[in-house]
Amino acid sequence: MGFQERVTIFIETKVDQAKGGLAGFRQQLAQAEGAVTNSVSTFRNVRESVGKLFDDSGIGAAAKFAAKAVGAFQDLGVSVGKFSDATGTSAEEASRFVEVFGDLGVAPDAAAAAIGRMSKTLATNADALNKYGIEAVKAADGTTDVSATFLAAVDAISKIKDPAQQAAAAQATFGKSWQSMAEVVTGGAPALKAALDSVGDAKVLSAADVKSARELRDALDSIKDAGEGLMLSLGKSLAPSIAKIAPEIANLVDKAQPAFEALGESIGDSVESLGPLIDGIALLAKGLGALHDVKIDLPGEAEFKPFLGALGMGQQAWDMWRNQFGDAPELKGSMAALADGVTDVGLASDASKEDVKAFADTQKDLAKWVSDSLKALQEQADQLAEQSGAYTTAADDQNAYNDTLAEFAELNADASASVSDLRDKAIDAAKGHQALYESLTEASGATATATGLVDAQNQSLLASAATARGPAKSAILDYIGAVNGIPPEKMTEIRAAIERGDLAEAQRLLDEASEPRKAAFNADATNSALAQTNKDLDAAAHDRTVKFNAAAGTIIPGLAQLQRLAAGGTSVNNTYNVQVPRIPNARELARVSARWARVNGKG
Amino acid sequence: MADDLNDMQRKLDDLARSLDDPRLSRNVGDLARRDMLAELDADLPGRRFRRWGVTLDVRADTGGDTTRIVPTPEAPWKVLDVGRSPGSNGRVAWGATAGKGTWQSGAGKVAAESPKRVDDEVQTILHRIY
Repeated sequence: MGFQERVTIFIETKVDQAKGGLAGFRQQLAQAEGAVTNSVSTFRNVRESVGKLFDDSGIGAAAKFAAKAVGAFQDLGVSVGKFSDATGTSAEEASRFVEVFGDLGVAPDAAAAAIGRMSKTLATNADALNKYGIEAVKAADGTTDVSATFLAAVDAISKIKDPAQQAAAAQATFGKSWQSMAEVVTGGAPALKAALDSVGDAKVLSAADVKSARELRDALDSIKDAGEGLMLSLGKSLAPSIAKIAPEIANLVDKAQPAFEALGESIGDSVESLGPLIDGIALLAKGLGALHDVKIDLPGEAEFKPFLGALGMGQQAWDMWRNQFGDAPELKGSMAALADGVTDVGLASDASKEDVKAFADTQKDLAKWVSDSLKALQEQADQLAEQSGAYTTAADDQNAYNDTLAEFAELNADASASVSDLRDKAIDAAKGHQALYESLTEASGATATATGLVDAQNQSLLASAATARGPAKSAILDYIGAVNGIPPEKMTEIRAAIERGDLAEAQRLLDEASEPRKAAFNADATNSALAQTNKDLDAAAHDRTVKFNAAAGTIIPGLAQLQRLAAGGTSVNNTYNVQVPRIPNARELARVSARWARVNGKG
Repeated sequence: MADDLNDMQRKLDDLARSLDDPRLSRNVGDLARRDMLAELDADLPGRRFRRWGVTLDVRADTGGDTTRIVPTPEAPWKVLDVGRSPGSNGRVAWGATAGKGTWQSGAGKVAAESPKRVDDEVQTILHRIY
């Protein structure tokens, strides 16, 4: 091999995993976008039902309307669907009930529960209601017409003269929650029917509308899930930047906040329904570019634009604000002065008092909106930095645990390894598994329990015992017995299960026999979240082996050769590969370096 | 909302395209070449072996996500890096020289700096898009 060939440096910039993650996310995003578009389209047909949300005043009305309207449609559709499912009414009937109950301040859930109770009692204990003159009304096809039955029940109860009897009948029919809808019940059927009939057609959703609303909800959920996945894929690259910009955001908010807070009330929550993905990734990623060199005395357009742009419709607000101020030098003056009537700003010397007041009010709204946006941005930064940190810790623990397992396997295959070394390595692995459990739990938002820690330790020890060679197997099992306080006869059973290769049975016996555990298992939901987090972290930890990493200085020159040497003992040459490798831990480096020294006759 | 999603979609497309762009590798490779030339200048001002009549250079070839940093021409680089033994070709005799480890030293620097540079490239892409 010639000199040139031997010393050629290969620099590989592998970003395949990131690209793969992006492709998946983009696909989910496209699907979600379709669902949103469909829902917006559907919404136009039922616009009247949430028309009151349409607000022509203030800034960003159209964009604000779009975001709010879609959110309102989703909420209404899901609510109607839920009511319909719970009561057996059609979507149209459910729409009317939800609207009428809503007007009377009765929560749809409570009303649905009351009607459900009525239907159930009529089906299982009709006599209890028949005595009050309440019977199921049948539709033409013989099924119970829930809506008509409800009207009939209200009619019967409202006609009972004795208040005590009336209350007893209402309680028997609708359960305890009848009191929350007492106005409906005692008002009588004609009033209720009139109210139901008066609900405008535009506010009545069809089954298709309900389906569309549910699809929208699912789509937004999928965006959120996909966004969290994307955070894992990009997190290793973004995390340092997030940490870097977080103080800058805090600094910015500290300086800008008081001036803006002085200017008035909130004008909107126009981004409330966009979900953590849009709030989070877009804002933070935007912040990466925007905040890097921001120094705020008073905001200039160039510095503020990215913030507002990140919040979607904010650009429009900023432009309006800027246009109204123009390039007035007073912009450099006190923002708080605006709250006092803008007279100090001197923009409206020819304007009437009312004009000045109106102008000031608009500025208050705008400024408060910017203030809220800044707050939201900071909260997002904090949350993402925290989440990113938790995932980083867990990914590190996962790598460390994998490394220890690999070392155990290596020792186990080495006939010259001592039993105590093998046992100690199994214990190392168990402790690593505990640490992994703890950080995984934290990353999933739950709290590690004493039980979980014991289980994590035992699970790893049992797995090691199952694969260990004869004497080492006994040593590890002895350790399990000692650390869990398990009597010898029980350990014999566990040993037998291990010998049979029945690890699950061994685990069960161990759980059963281990000393009384200090905490109960978390709910299934928590375990499920844990499993998902574990899966995500597998991907995140895997990414670390192939993706760009800023850890300059931790990668020793020639590491690639050392790793190859460690793996296969091939001859050393002078090829220098820079593959942006994962960061080796200290133990791995020490092992590889020692081997390197041995092969080169220096060890 | 749909506009927000559209915007996000466009940005993600841009990000995917940018990560695929060979310029990412090329930029990192150019910096690596600069490192190697700096080492060369330090050990061999003028980059020339006078008697050989050749100028030493470093080539950076980028293909896909890989850049190769190659010493050229080969023979003088080898002498500069690892030295030479005494010998003769029948007409000309030469003495031994000690190598200066120029290439090895530069390669160490490239290995240490490149991961950070890749990260910088990715950060630049993210800043441009977002």
